[in-house]
Amino acid sequence: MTARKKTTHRKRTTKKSPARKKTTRKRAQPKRSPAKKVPVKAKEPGYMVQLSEPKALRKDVLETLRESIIFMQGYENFRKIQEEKVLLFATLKTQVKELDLLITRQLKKYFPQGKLRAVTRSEQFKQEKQQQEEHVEIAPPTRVPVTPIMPVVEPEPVNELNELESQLQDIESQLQNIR
Amino acid sequence: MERMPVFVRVDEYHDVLALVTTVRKKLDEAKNTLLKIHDLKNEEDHQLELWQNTLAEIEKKVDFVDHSLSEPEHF
Repeated sequence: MTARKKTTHRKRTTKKSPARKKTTRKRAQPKRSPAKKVPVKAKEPGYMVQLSEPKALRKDVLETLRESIIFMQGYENFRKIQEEKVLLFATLKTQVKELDLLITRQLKKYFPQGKLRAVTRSEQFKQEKQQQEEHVEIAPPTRVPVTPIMPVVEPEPVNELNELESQLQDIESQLQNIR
Repeated sequence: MERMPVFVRVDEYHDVLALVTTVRKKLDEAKNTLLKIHDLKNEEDHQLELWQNTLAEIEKKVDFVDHSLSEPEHF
């Protein structure tokens, strides 16, 4: 009886929508075969460990997690500091470069070049004597060839380091002369 | 040897003074920058110290967890 009823029902449905027959077939999804229910047995552990202080253990794990997160936050902070430091290093470099330029190019040109010696009284006396003798002899004025101070032409340094090294050597030699 | 005074003629005296002031200003700026770098370095050192302490704490806790799991009879 039940089978008969089912068939009649099917017929009714087909009769009601004969035009939809094709479309319904196309759209119809393949019926999945009902999944076989396999009873999953909960695996029991082979042995169990009794924890004397489970709360403390849990607390420790959570605290460790929290501290590792704080650690990572600290890393971000550290990175920011380093970036800032790199920027400051660049700023410092430019400032020192500007200082160097101010001193070597602008300030230096206001002061005389060359090695100056203090004129002592004996030397002054000798010079005066020589001048007097020259006045007596009335020698024809001879032009003393003035040797122009030739700027020391240095080969162009390969890089900034070489330039700095040469400057350093120059300054050191000047210092030695002063001593 | 008798010490004699040495005089240097400076034609553009005021210019030189202005330049020296500028140099001083630049020097102050550079000093400030260096101070900031020093502060940042201190901050970095502090951060490193904090990390070291945190790592030591974490190690202690992990040790405790490990011991309580592997040798429960001791706890």
